[in-house]
Amino acid sequence: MTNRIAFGNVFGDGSMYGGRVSMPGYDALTEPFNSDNVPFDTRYTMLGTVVKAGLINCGAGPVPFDDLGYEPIAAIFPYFSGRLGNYNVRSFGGSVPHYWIPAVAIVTSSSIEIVPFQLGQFYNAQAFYNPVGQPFQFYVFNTDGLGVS
Amino acid sequence: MVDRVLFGDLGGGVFGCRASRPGYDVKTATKGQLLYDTSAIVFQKVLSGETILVSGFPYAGTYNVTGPSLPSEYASYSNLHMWANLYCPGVRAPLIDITAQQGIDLRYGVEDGVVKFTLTVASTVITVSGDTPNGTIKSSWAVFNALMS
Repeated sequence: MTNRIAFGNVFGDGSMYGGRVSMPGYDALTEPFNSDNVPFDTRYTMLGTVVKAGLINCGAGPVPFDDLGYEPIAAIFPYFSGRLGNYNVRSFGGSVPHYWIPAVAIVTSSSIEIVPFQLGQFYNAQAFYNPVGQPFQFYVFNTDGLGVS
Repeated sequence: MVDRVLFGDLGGGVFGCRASRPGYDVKTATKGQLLYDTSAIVFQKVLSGETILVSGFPYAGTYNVTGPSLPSEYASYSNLHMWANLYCPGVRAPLIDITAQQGIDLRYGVEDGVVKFTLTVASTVITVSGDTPNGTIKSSWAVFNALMS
C-alpha cells in the first residue's frame, strides 16, 4: 500500500510544510512536483475548483458570487433540454442554418451575466439572431489563469 | 512562514478543511486567496475519452452517436456534467474556423448513464482554413460529478 495523504512536514526534512494527496496507486511522498498523479499539492496556485455554477438566461442580468478580488475564468455553454452545445460556425447569411449563438459572458470579480454579442456600431448579432432568453450553463473557476501566488 | 492548511473548526460553527494559496495565511485568506475549500465545488472526473462522430466524407445531415456507458457506480448520479469539443485529426485549424456558409453543431449529454452526441452537419463539404477534412470528425469529452451550489 502506498502513502496517499501527507500533511505537515511532508517530506520530513523541512523542505515543505503543507499537504499532498496522490491518486490511487501513487505515493504522495515520492511523486515529483506537478505530477499528474498528485491532484492536490499546497504548492499549486490553483486546483480548478468552481465557486459558482448553474443555469442563467441570456439578458437576465448578473448572477452574484463571493467577491474573489480578481476577474476569474468562466465558461459558458448553451443549454438545450438537458444537453449542452457547441456552436462552431460562422454563418451570417444564406440558406445554411445558424448554429452559432451570438452571446458572451461578462465577468467581474463578483458576478457573471450573459449578454447578446455586439461589436461597436458596425456589427450587431441580434440583427440575425436574438439570443435573449437562451439558457446557458455557466461555470466560474477560482482562478484568474495567471497564478495568484 | 504563514499557516497554509486548516482542518476542523473553521470558525462560525463551520467544520471542514481549507488550504490557502502560497503566500496567504489560511486563517485570514479571502475566498479568492484559497487553494481549496470544502465548501467549493470540485469537479470529480468520472469518465473521459474520444468518440468518432463521423467517419469519412461528412455529408450534410444529423448524426446521433452513442458513446460509452458510465461505470455503474456513477450511472445514477444526478450531478453529472459533460464537456465536449469537436476536432478533425490532421487538420491544421480547429473547427471553430469553419468558413462562412458551412456549419456544424454538436450537442451532448449523459442520458440514462450513457454518453450521447447529436452532430448536425449543415453543409456537405466542410473546409477548415483551406483544408478539406475528408476524414474523421471526433469529439474529445469528459464527464464530471459536481454538486452545484
